[in-house]
Amino acid sequence: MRSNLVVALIGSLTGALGALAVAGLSSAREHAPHAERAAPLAPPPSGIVPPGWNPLFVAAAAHAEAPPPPSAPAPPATGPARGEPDEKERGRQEHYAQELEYRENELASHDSESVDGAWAHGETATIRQTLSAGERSFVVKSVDCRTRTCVAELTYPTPSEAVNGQASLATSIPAGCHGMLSTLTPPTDAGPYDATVVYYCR
Amino acid sequence: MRKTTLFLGATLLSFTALLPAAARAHIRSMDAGACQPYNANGVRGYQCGLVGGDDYGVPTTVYFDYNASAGSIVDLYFVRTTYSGSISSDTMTPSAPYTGSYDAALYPSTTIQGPSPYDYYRALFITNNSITVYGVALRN
Repeated sequence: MRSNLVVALIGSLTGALGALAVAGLSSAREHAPHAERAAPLAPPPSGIVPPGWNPLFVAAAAHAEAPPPPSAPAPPATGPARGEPDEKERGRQEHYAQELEYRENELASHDSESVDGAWAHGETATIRQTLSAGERSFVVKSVDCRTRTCVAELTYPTPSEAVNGQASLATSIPAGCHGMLSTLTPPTDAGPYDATVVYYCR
Repeated sequence: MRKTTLFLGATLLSFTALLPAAARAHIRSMDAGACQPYNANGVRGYQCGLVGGDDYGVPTTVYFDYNASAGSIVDLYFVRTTYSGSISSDTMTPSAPYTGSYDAALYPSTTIQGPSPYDYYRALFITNNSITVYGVALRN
């Protein structure tokens, strides 16, 4: 009798674990250790600097990655060795690589679209007008509309300006479009920087 | 034989009992107290920070609850910023008459590509007039 009870209990636990596994809820949560931060020397960028960018090309990022002052406490013994990215940071780097690949695929998909001349001409004008409204830190280098998507190339004075300009692009989608995507590629220097925005319209 | 049957029966019972609850859609709602006025580059309105994370999964619907006065055109935005710096957004404009209470549903398409539990989400009510924001809800 008692052994039957034990078997039923083990069976119930097995089933419960199976249900959680199927529902995808069994993955353990990761608790990243608090990142050690240097004292701010300059206002941080309002946008997120992608991982792996050369700090010399993004002034504010250089401060964020500066070594801590001598009085700063040593990192915990259980944490990653100094200079080595922790699990979250490694995931961030991998995610950025995936985003760059997705961006390339979306641009290739855009390039493969045929051109709906009448619509593309009107939407190009609309996008240029929207991007030129208000105070902007970029100049519109080009706008290319096809059948379903449009791609705008923007030139910022610096990579830092591009990072800071990301948020405002997300809330100024031109009429006729319903979505946008902007992934910044690693800069090659600290000078003028070209960013590409994909607009999803039809 | 009997014990095997008992084991399988118990396993099946607990599995079928727990699975619907574990796999059901999650909804998280945010009161307007979580929102603040938004004013950037001449674009005005209200923005609300939303909860992401791995408890919820990819959002499939964003509900914007608000009341608009006459003549208020409200553009609704759902913005995702990834922890690696990319930004994407989906937008919609509820149809006329542009006044009264709205419970507008936006179905994200751009912002759900390549999701990460570390993504940050915002909901924005961009408007040319005053509106009363009640809150925002996300369904996955």
